[in-house]
Amino acid sequence: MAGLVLATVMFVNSAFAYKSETVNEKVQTAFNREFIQAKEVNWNRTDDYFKAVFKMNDIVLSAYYTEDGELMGIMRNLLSTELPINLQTSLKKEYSEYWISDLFEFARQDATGYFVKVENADQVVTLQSADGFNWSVFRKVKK
Amino acid sequence: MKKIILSLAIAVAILSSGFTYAAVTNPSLIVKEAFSKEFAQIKDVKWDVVGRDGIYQANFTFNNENVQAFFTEDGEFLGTNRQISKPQLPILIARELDKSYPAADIRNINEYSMKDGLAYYITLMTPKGAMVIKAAGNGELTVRQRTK
Repeated sequence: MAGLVLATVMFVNSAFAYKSETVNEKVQTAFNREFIQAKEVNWNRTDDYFKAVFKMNDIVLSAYYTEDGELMGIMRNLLSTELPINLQTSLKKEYSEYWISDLFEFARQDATGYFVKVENADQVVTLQSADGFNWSVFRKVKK
Repeated sequence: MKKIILSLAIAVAILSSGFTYAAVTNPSLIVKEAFSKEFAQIKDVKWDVVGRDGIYQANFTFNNENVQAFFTEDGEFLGTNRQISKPQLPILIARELDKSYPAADIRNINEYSMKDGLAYYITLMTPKGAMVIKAAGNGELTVRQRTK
Protein backbone atom coordinates (compact mmCIF):
# COMPACT_ATOMS: atom_id res chain seq x y z
CA MET A 1 0.00 0.00 0.00
CA ALA A 2 2.83 2.37 0.86
CA GLY A 3 4.35 1.66 -2.54
CA LEU A 4 1.13 2.50 -4.34
CA VAL A 5 0.78 5.74 -2.38
CA LEU A 6 4.37 6.61 -3.25
CA ALA A 7 3.77 5.88 -6.94
CA THR A 8 0.68 8.04 -7.11
CA VAL A 9 2.26 10.88 -5.15
CA MET A 10 5.26 10.82 -7.47
CA PHE A 11 2.91 10.95 -10.41
CA VAL A 12 0.75 13.79 -9.23
CA ASN A 13 3.58 15.93 -7.99
CA SER A 14 6.61 15.68 -10.26
CA ALA A 15 8.15 18.82 -8.76
CA PHE A 16 9.72 17.07 -5.79
CA ALA A 17 12.73 18.81 -4.31
CA TYR A 18 15.52 16.26 -4.65
CA LYS A 19 18.89 16.85 -3.04
CA SER A 20 22.04 15.00 -4.03
CA GLU A 21 22.97 12.98 -1.00
CA THR A 22 25.43 10.54 0.42
CA VAL A 23 23.28 7.58 1.28
CA ASN A 24 23.32 5.97 4.75
CA GLU A 25 24.83 2.52 5.29
CA LYS A 26 21.54 0.67 5.79
CA VAL A 27 20.19 1.90 2.47
CA GLN A 28 23.46 1.30 0.64
CA THR A 29 23.69 -2.27 1.95
CA ALA A 30 20.08 -3.02 0.99
CA PHE A 31 20.60 -1.57 -2.47
CA ASN A 32 23.83 -3.52 -3.10
CA ARG A 33 22.13 -6.76 -2.05
CA GLU A 34 19.11 -6.20 -4.28
CA PHE A 35 20.74 -4.79 -7.41
CA ILE A 36 24.07 -6.56 -7.80
CA GLN A 37 24.43 -5.62 -11.46
CA ALA A 38 23.55 -1.93 -11.05
CA LYS A 39 25.74 0.60 -12.86
CA GLU A 40 25.99 4.41 -12.89
CA VAL A 41 24.17 4.78 -9.56
CA ASN A 42 23.12 8.28 -8.47
CA TRP A 43 21.48 8.94 -5.11
CA ASN A 44 19.00 11.66 -4.20
CA ARG A 45 16.71 12.15 -1.26
CA THR A 46 13.57 13.96 -0.21
CA ASP A 47 12.37 14.41 3.35
CA ASP A 48 10.63 11.02 3.11
CA TYR A 49 12.79 8.66 1.10
CA PHE A 50 16.02 7.94 -0.77
CA LYS A 51 15.99 7.51 -4.51
CA ALA A 52 18.63 5.65 -6.53
CA VAL A 53 18.71 6.14 -10.30
CA PHE A 54 20.80 3.52 -12.06
CA LYS A 55 21.22 1.30 -15.10
CA MET A 56 20.67 -2.44 -15.09
CA ASN A 57 20.73 -4.53 -18.29
CA ASP A 58 20.87 -1.19 -20.17
CA ILE A 59 17.55 -0.09 -18.66
CA VAL A 60 17.33 3.01 -16.47
CA LEU A 61 15.54 2.26 -13.19
CA SER A 62 14.75 4.21 -10.04
CA ALA A 63 14.59 2.47 -6.67
CA TYR A 64 13.01 4.09 -3.60
CA TYR A 65 14.11 3.32 -0.03
CA THR A 66 13.10 4.39 3.45
CA GLU A 67 15.82 5.61 5.79
CA ASP A 68 15.81 2.11 7.34
CA GLY A 69 16.76 0.49 4.04
CA GLU A 70 13.31 -0.85 3.19
CA LEU A 71 12.70 -1.04 -0.55
CA MET A 72 9.49 0.88 -1.23
CA GLY A 73 9.36 0.31 -4.97
CA ILE A 74 11.10 0.28 -8.33
CA MET A 75 10.11 2.54 -11.20
CA ARG A 76 10.98 2.84 -14.86
CA ASN A 77 9.66 5.11 -17.57
CA LEU A 78 8.04 3.35 -20.52
CA LEU A 79 7.17 3.99 -24.13
CA SER A 80 3.53 3.26 -24.90
CA THR A 81 4.67 0.33 -27.06
CA GLU A 82 6.26 -1.24 -23.98
CA LEU A 83 2.92 -1.54 -22.17
CA PRO A 84 1.13 -4.90 -22.05
CA ILE A 85 -0.84 -5.19 -25.26
CA ASN A 86 -4.32 -4.78 -23.76
CA LEU A 87 -3.30 -1.57 -22.02
CA GLN A 88 -1.98 -0.27 -25.34
CA THR A 89 -5.13 -1.10 -27.28
CA SER A 90 -7.54 0.20 -24.65
CA LEU A 91 -5.55 3.44 -24.33
CA LYS A 92 -5.75 3.89 -28.08
CA LYS A 93 -9.47 3.09 -28.08
CA GLU A 94 -10.53 5.23 -25.13
CA TYR A 95 -8.07 8.13 -25.37
CA SER A 96 -7.28 8.41 -29.09
CA GLU A 97 -7.74 12.19 -28.97
CA TYR A 98 -5.26 12.61 -26.12
CA TRP A 99 -1.48 12.66 -26.01
CA ILE A 100 0.66 10.88 -23.43
CA SER A 101 2.69 13.18 -21.22
CA ASP A 102 3.99 10.64 -18.69
CA LEU A 103 4.06 6.86 -18.46
CA PHE A 104 5.77 4.53 -16.03
CA GLU A 105 5.80 1.06 -14.47
CA PHE A 106 5.94 0.85 -10.69
CA ALA A 107 6.88 -2.44 -9.02
CA ARG A 108 6.49 -3.20 -5.34
CA GLN A 109 7.69 -6.37 -3.64
CA ASP A 110 4.77 -8.42 -4.90
CA ALA A 111 2.94 -6.47 -7.59
CA THR A 112 3.38 -4.41 -10.73
CA GLY A 113 1.32 -1.35 -11.62
CA TYR A 114 1.21 0.98 -14.60
CA PHE A 115 0.49 4.70 -14.51
CA VAL A 116 -0.15 7.03 -17.43
CA LYS A 117 -0.96 10.71 -17.71
CA VAL A 118 -2.89 11.68 -20.87
CA GLU A 119 -3.87 15.19 -21.90
CA ASN A 120 -5.95 17.07 -24.41
CA ALA A 121 -6.55 20.81 -24.72
CA ASP A 122 -9.04 20.79 -21.84
CA GLN A 123 -7.95 18.30 -19.23
CA VAL A 124 -5.29 16.03 -17.79
CA VAL A 125 -6.35 12.47 -16.93
CA THR A 126 -4.25 10.16 -14.79
CA LEU A 127 -4.94 6.45 -15.23
CA GLN A 128 -3.64 3.49 -13.31
CA SER A 129 -3.67 -0.26 -13.92
CA ALA A 130 -3.06 -2.82 -11.21
CA ASP A 131 -3.82 -5.90 -13.33
CA GLY A 132 -2.04 -5.06 -16.58
CA PHE A 133 -5.34 -5.48 -18.42
CA ASN A 134 -7.65 -2.56 -17.58
CA TRP A 135 -7.13 1.13 -16.83
CA SER A 136 -9.01 2.97 -14.12
CA VAL A 137 -9.22 6.73 -13.75
CA PHE A 138 -7.15 7.92 -10.82
CA ARG A 139 -7.62 11.63 -11.31
CA LYS A 140 -9.02 14.21 -13.75
CA VAL A 141 -7.94 17.84 -13.72
CA LYS A 142 -9.25 20.63 -15.93
CA LYS A 143 -6.62 22.89 -17.48
CA MET B 1 -15.00 -23.43 -14.92
CA LYS B 2 -15.50 -23.18 -18.67
CA LYS B 3 -13.36 -20.05 -18.70
CA ILE B 4 -10.52 -21.83 -16.89
CA ILE B 5 -10.62 -24.69 -19.39
CA LEU B 6 -10.56 -22.23 -22.27
CA SER B 7 -7.68 -20.31 -20.73
CA LEU B 8 -5.73 -23.54 -20.30
CA ALA B 9 -6.47 -24.42 -23.90
CA ILE B 10 -5.00 -21.14 -25.04
CA ALA B 11 -1.94 -21.60 -22.86
CA VAL B 12 -1.46 -25.06 -24.34
CA ALA B 13 -1.85 -23.58 -27.81
CA ILE B 14 0.85 -21.05 -27.04
CA LEU B 15 3.17 -23.68 -25.65
CA SER B 16 2.62 -26.31 -28.29
CA SER B 17 3.65 -25.63 -31.86
CA GLY B 18 1.90 -28.85 -32.85
CA PHE B 19 -1.55 -27.58 -31.89
CA THR B 20 -4.27 -27.89 -34.52
CA TYR B 21 -5.27 -24.70 -36.24
CA ALA B 22 -7.96 -24.40 -38.89
CA ALA B 23 -8.26 -21.24 -40.94
CA VAL B 24 -11.66 -19.58 -40.76
CA THR B 25 -12.57 -17.11 -43.43
CA ASN B 26 -15.90 -16.08 -41.98
CA PRO B 27 -16.43 -16.34 -38.21
CA SER B 28 -19.88 -15.64 -36.80
CA LEU B 29 -21.18 -12.09 -36.54
CA ILE B 30 -21.11 -12.36 -32.74
CA VAL B 31 -17.39 -13.06 -32.77
CA LYS B 32 -16.69 -10.32 -35.32
CA GLU B 33 -18.66 -7.79 -33.30
CA ALA B 34 -16.84 -8.78 -30.13
CA PHE B 35 -13.54 -8.23 -31.90
CA SER B 36 -14.61 -4.81 -33.20
CA LYS B 37 -15.73 -3.81 -29.72
CA GLU B 38 -12.33 -4.65 -28.24
CA PHE B 39 -10.14 -3.56 -31.15
CA ALA B 40 -12.09 -0.88 -32.99
CA GLN B 41 -8.97 0.51 -34.62
CA ILE B 42 -7.96 -2.81 -36.25
CA LYS B 43 -9.32 -3.39 -39.76
CA ASP B 44 -7.04 -6.09 -41.16
CA VAL B 45 -7.59 -9.36 -39.31
CA LYS B 46 -7.20 -13.03 -40.18
CA TRP B 47 -9.10 -15.73 -38.27
CA ASP B 48 -8.23 -19.24 -37.08
CA VAL B 49 -9.98 -21.76 -34.86
CA VAL B 50 -7.76 -23.21 -32.13
CA GLY B 51 -8.08 -26.96 -31.47
CA ARG B 52 -11.52 -28.46 -30.97
CA ASP B 53 -12.71 -26.14 -28.21
CA GLY B 54 -14.40 -23.55 -30.39
CA ILE B 55 -11.89 -20.82 -29.56
CA TYR B 56 -11.47 -18.23 -32.27
CA GLN B 57 -8.08 -16.64 -32.76
CA ALA B 58 -7.84 -13.25 -34.46
CA ASN B 59 -4.42 -12.47 -35.95
CA PHE B 60 -3.53 -8.85 -36.56
CA THR B 61 -0.76 -6.27 -36.37
CA PHE B 62 -0.73 -3.54 -33.75
CA ASN B 63 2.13 -1.03 -33.46
CA ASN B 64 4.17 -3.22 -35.83
CA GLU B 65 3.78 -6.29 -33.61
CA ASN B 66 1.94 -9.50 -34.41
CA VAL B 67 -0.88 -10.02 -31.91
CA GLN B 68 -3.38 -12.84 -31.39
CA ALA B 69 -6.70 -12.22 -29.64
CA PHE B 70 -8.89 -15.10 -28.42
CA PHE B 71 -12.70 -15.28 -28.31
CA THR B 72 -15.24 -17.96 -27.49
CA GLU B 73 -17.88 -18.86 -30.05
CA ASP B 74 -20.27 -16.80 -27.88
CA GLY B 75 -18.14 -13.71 -28.46
CA GLU B 76 -16.52 -13.61 -25.04
CA PHE B 77 -13.12 -11.95 -25.17
CA LEU B 78 -10.59 -14.18 -23.39
CA GLY B 79 -7.32 -12.34 -23.88
CA THR B 80 -4.37 -11.71 -26.14
CA ASN B 81 -0.95 -13.10 -26.87
CA ARG B 82 2.17 -11.56 -28.41
CA GLN B 83 5.89 -12.26 -28.50
CA ILE B 84 8.05 -9.79 -26.63
CA SER B 85 11.74 -9.33 -25.81
CA LYS B 86 13.39 -9.30 -22.39
CA PRO B 87 13.45 -5.48 -22.00
CA GLN B 88 9.64 -5.55 -22.30
CA LEU B 89 9.25 -7.85 -19.29
CA PRO B 90 8.02 -6.26 -16.07
CA ILE B 91 10.84 -5.27 -13.71
CA LEU B 92 10.01 -7.93 -11.10
CA ILE B 93 10.08 -10.77 -13.62
CA ALA B 94 13.32 -9.63 -15.26
CA ARG B 95 14.91 -9.38 -11.81
CA GLU B 96 13.74 -12.87 -10.76
CA LEU B 97 14.99 -14.37 -14.02
CA ASP B 98 18.42 -12.80 -13.47
CA LYS B 99 18.49 -14.15 -9.92
CA SER B 100 17.15 -17.66 -10.60
CA TYR B 101 18.60 -18.39 -14.05
CA PRO B 102 21.68 -16.17 -14.48
CA ALA B 103 23.29 -18.50 -17.04
CA ALA B 104 20.16 -19.14 -19.10
CA ASP B 105 19.69 -18.02 -22.68
CA ILE B 106 16.21 -16.63 -23.30
CA ARG B 107 14.87 -18.03 -26.58
CA ASN B 108 11.29 -16.86 -26.59
CA ILE B 109 8.82 -14.85 -24.46
CA ASN B 110 5.05 -14.80 -24.88
CA GLU B 111 2.98 -12.21 -23.07
CA TYR B 112 -0.42 -13.72 -22.35
CA SER B 113 -2.89 -11.08 -21.23
CA MET B 114 -6.18 -12.22 -19.69
CA LYS B 115 -8.92 -10.52 -17.70
CA ASP B 116 -7.66 -12.17 -14.54
CA GLY B 117 -4.08 -11.02 -15.02
CA LEU B 118 -0.93 -11.10 -17.05
CA ALA B 119 1.24 -14.16 -17.50
CA TYR B 120 4.48 -14.62 -19.37
CA TYR B 121 5.65 -17.93 -20.89
CA ILE B 122 9.42 -17.86 -21.20
CA THR B 123 11.46 -20.48 -23.06
CA LEU B 124 14.95 -20.77 -21.61
CA MET B 125 17.97 -22.76 -22.70
CA THR B 126 20.12 -23.78 -19.73
CA PRO B 127 23.18 -26.07 -19.47
CA LYS B 128 20.75 -28.81 -18.30
CA GLY B 129 18.33 -28.39 -21.21
CA ALA B 130 15.38 -26.32 -22.33
CA MET B 131 12.52 -25.27 -20.08
CA VAL B 132 9.34 -23.26 -20.28
CA ILE B 133 8.64 -21.02 -17.31
CA LYS B 134 5.42 -19.29 -16.44
CA ALA B 135 5.99 -15.89 -14.83
CA ALA B 136 3.25 -13.98 -13.01
CA GLY B 137 3.12 -10.20 -12.77
CA ASN B 138 4.39 -10.38 -9.19
CA GLY B 139 7.62 -11.99 -10.38
CA GLU B 140 6.74 -15.54 -9.29
CA LEU B 141 8.30 -18.13 -11.61
CA THR B 142 6.91 -21.65 -12.15
CA VAL B 143 8.51 -24.32 -14.33
CA ARG B 144 5.89 -25.67 -16.75
CA GLN B 145 7.96 -27.86 -19.07
CA ARG B 146 11.46 -29.36 -19.11
CA THR B 147 13.20 -30.89 -22.12
CA LYS B 148 16.69 -32.47 -22.04
